[in-house]
Amino acid sequence: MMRILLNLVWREWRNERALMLGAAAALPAILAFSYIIHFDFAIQAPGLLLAIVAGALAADVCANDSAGRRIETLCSLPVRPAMLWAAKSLFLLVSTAAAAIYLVCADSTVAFALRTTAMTHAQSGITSVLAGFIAFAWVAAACVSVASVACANALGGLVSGAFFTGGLVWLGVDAADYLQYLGWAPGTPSLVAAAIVIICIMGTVAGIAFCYLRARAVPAWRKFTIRAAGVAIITIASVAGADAAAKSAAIPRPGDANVEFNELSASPDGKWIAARVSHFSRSDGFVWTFDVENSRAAAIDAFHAYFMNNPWTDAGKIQLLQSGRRGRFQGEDTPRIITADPATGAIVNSREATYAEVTNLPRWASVEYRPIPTETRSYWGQGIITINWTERGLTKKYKSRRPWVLDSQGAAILNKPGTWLGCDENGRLIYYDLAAGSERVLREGPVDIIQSSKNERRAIVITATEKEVIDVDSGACVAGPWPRNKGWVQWLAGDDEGRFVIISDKPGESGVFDILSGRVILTISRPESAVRLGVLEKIAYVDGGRIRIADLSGGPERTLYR
Amino acid sequence: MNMNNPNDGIVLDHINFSFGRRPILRNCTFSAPVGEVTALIGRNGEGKTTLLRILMGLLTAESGSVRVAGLDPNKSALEIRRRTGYAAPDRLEVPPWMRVAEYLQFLEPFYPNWNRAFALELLHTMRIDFAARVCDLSKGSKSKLAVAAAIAHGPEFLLLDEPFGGLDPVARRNVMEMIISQIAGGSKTVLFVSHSLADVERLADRVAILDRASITWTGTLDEARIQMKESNPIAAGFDLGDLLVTKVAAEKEKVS
Repeated sequence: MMRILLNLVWREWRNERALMLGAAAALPAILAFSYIIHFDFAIQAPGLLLAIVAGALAADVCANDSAGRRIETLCSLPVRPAMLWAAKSLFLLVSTAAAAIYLVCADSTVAFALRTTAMTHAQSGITSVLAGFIAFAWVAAACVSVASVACANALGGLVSGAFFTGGLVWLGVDAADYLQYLGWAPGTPSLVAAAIVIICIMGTVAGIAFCYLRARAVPAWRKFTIRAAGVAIITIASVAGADAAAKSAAIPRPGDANVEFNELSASPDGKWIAARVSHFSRSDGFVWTFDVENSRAAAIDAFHAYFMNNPWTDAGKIQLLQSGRRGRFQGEDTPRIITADPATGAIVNSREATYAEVTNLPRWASVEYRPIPTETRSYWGQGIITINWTERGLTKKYKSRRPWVLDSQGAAILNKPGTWLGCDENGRLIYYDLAAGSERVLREGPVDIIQSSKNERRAIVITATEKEVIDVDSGACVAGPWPRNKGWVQWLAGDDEGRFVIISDKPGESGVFDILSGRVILTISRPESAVRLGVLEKIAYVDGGRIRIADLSGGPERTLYR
Repeated sequence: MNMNNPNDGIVLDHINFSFGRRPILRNCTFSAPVGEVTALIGRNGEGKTTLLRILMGLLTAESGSVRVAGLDPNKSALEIRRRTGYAAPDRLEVPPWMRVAEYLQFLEPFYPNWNRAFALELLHTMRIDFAARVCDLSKGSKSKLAVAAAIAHGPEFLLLDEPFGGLDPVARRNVMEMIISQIAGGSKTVLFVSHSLADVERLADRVAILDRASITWTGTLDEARIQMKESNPIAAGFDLGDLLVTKVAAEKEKVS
């Protein structure tokens, strides 16, 4: 039995040997090319290449037996179909695993060989990307092998083609995002859809060429029907995929029924408010700017960009971050920094950034991030972060293996050189003084989130059960605690005094409070986000899908954008 | 008749089969007894190959009963294939990379009684290049390879689908001798399809004529001779082709 199985696996290997050896030769070259030419692609290349190799293998394993009467010759032997299926599955499993190992090794080797170039770029997160592609490729491959044996004719080729093309459509949808990110595809939804459809058509052509034309065993009278059915299935899948992708890629517009404002940021001069507008329950979105005086809105023409902390430059522009995929920047991304004009939404500058640049940086230090390409890459990235700063005329340096203290929510950068608030690995809230080399535990924790006030005297600390405002120097509680699951608390962005927090508990009871006196300055029914506008007298906040401007001195309140 | 008797050789009882709406076999009934060589003759496209494929369990009859050594090909296809040598040179397709030696090496694990030395000897006798790719072989060489592969594991049954197609006279004699040497003991059951009536007369003990999807006549070669004598007393000699033509004409008349 085992001899027969190995014999069949050997046959599959001989069938695919040319393809696999060709792939083995081409893959390192493609990887090296991507490292040299475009790092953004290098991050996704191993997963993408593995999906293509696995898809091609699966399709070819099926198409080989669908061609001519090979499957009949095979079936006339004393062997069960289950054994044929097992041999194909085993071969696909082993070859996919081998391809994955080879890709990872090749990727690491190429990354190491090109490390001087790679040092300047952040790369991580292959594992998650790889896992997704393997999952997809393997399901498709299993279906293909079952179909191939069960149908015992070219129908297997059709099914494999549909799966293969379906995979390409799926990749195409992702690729359309990527094209947008690279700036190769226009930003308007209709053209995004067009780009996706073009990719789908290319996938369809590839699928047909790869499978149907090879499946010569189909009787002539059936060829047209089968191909027509295949094309119909693939067209429907493509159109559906394109439609879904176009919908998701469409710019969410303020005022539409299904959009919400997620974050606000006011320009220092109080003339502009930036808000990230997204469809309901979506983490991605587009940044819009609003003129406070006349409510005029402009979309910033950057695909799924977002902002962190204070995005405004001294020149009055807004600075956004853009990830290579949907959603917020994470360790696996090589981000892009985009500078745009808030009045028109036009992009005035766009450049690749390093990991360190988009980390929650202290202003008193310069930070370098150096990835370690040869190490196993994880979600958070592996690398050395170096923090340099000058204190009393002396240049100081702090090195950390992994910048978790900087990039997580459990960190607050303080302006005093060499200091920050952060959580250690046990979740304890610690006041770090790098200059003195000391650490002071403020809370035993576990602490999830820290937000320091602008003047850094106070910090909002959120634990698993409650939240409170503490004094940074002493660690003593100055306000609260409030239950964590009832509403939320945040500093008003741009408030230098650190006096105001918004506490949302239940409708009618939340608003703007003076922490020191406890006086209620403004009640807001359901505030979702808020910023101070220029001077303390006005704030902008999001309430029930509207941006509202409130006068804290008791003046009239108006809706900036509904 | 007890259909499950293992000593009955090949038995088909009122089988029907069609591709889509086109009937290929209708109420086909005949048997190929153990130890005899049965030739299946008929015009092109009459379903002779289909019948062999049904016996191998590659196709399933819509109705009727099929037994090979008392086994049902639908339920015991593996056992039948293990005990049967099947050669269909026209339908033999292997991957383009496969060479003759690799093909034999590939087949070996599937048959417990595979005789490697015998297989090599056969190929040597047939003058087939071991290093040649199977797909590059001429039609005749492919026929020789298919027959050699079919008999190399000493099967009890031989199903041969036009084994002499494309063979030159010398090769034809070689292949025929190869088959004759296999059936010399008298324990093997052979069913072969051929359009060469001379080959049929030389090799077969019995003949079955398949026409218009039905077996129209079965009998031994002697019975065929007698029948021809009765229907055409002035004929100088026996010609199986005449019998085929006569039977086809009679069937045509019956249908019209």
